[in-house]
Amino acid sequence: MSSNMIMLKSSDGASFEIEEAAARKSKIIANMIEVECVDEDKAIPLQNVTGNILALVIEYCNKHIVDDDDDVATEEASEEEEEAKKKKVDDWEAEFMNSMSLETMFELLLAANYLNIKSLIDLVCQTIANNIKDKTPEEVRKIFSIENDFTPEEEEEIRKENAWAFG
Amino acid sequence: MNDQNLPSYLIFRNVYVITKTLAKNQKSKPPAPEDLETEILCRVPATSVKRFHRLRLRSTCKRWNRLFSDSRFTRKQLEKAAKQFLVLMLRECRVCSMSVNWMIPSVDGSGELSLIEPFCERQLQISQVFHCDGLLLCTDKDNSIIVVWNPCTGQTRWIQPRNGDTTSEYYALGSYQDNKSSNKSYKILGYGDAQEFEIYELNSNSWRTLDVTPNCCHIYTEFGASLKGKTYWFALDEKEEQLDRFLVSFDYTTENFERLTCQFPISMDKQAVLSVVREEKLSMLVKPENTSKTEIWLTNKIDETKPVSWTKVLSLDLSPYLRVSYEGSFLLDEEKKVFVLCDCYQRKNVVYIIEEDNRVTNLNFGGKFGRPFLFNYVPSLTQIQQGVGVGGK
Repeated sequence: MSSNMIMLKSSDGASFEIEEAAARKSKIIANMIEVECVDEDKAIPLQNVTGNILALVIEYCNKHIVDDDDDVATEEASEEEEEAKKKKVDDWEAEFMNSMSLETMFELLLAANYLNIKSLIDLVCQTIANNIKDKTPEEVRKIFSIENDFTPEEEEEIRKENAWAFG
Repeated sequence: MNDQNLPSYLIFRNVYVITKTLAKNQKSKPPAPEDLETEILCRVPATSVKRFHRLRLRSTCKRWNRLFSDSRFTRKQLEKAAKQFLVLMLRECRVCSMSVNWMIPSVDGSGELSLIEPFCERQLQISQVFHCDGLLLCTDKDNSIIVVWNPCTGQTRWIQPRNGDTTSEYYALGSYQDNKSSNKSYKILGYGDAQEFEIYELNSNSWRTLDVTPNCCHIYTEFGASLKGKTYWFALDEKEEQLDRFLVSFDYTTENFERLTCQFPISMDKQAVLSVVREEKLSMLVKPENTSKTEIWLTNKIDETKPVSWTKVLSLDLSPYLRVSYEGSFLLDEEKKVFVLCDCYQRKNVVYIIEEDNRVTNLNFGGKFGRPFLFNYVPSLTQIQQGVGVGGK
């Protein structure tokens, strides 16, 4: 194992090798590296993340180390270049999120939260938000496992109050 | 092949380090899982445009219903959710929603927004409207009542203008950071041709005279443009020999006017109209009187750090008969290079859609009462402070 590679181990025992720079996207892992808590020969156990989700997290981190390097190198990049680069990342992220089910998104969100990867939390939250914006309350309740605690009268009242102000 | 096979000290050490670092460094602390729900919900736009419906997710459960009225949540929503840019038009003293198709230029008036005056139960006859953060500041035609209105939540706050001779003719709405509550708060700026200014804080529900002279500037246009909480107008400096117009802004935190640097002056023989583009840039329509040459200029993204600079985005040769008055209003689509101009001509409301190749489509939208005003509206869940001892929904 080269010195800047580290091992991560999922809750179901799958091991993943990842570049240190990519792993540092996770504040938790970055902190562990700072305090030299990472044993080179031992994998870091991640009790709350399963292998299939960890694979997605790693895919995301690998994609984003490059962007961070670029930020430093091209501080004087023109506005158009910046925008083109941002569009490329946005397209990749859209494709990445598009490939998974809503259920996977929630698992990925919990993993991103556990590993403290802020940009991934933002991305997943935004994608779920886009997903639910046109859904009915019934559909949303199912997605979030929420029980309807309104009486039919109360629900009707809120529905009425929230009709648009069009005369 | 799972965690149990690892030396227990390693697991312990990791957990220990994680907990310790988290406690030490609050800044890097991730949201608690229950806060993730809020993180998702604050990214849902204020309205579902497709169904033209206010946020229905409110009726999911009681907890969510409370959340959508929580001012901390609504501020977060304003910051995080994708902005929706809707177009509204003031015509025949009512606010109407418009659907503008930029691809195949067409404008359709889809419906009136109802605003019922309390006590007399009739539709408010609106003569002026001003948009800021999804809130509309409306004034009735006798300037006898002012209302701050969130059409998205239906919340209103009715305000009496100041009594006496100095009643303002025009009103603008802006935001500032309230140090007492550390919340974003709103103020109304009243002004008139006499260049006297007064302020109404929504927090305090009273008017006070604003003791500033805007560096000898004369605020030139009645309609200001609102961007990031500040208000922008064209102004004149009467002390200068050459009477050129320039831009001034009003900061609701410092309550001061500021003349914008790095801009070109607009000479008095040109007509100039100001507009806001996607809540981040200002746009200006400049047309010398009695000629057909029209230019549209656009700023960079306006923020505190960079100076404002203007670029010409469209240069057109329009029919000299196309009327652009000082009271006209327009909206620009930067990408499609199309702009929509709205004006009143011989008591008729006309909307012109003008494309890069000088192609003009014009549509009539009634007339008779008042002058039309076309503006951007960004729905938000922004709460209107009700002040002390003030009723209202």
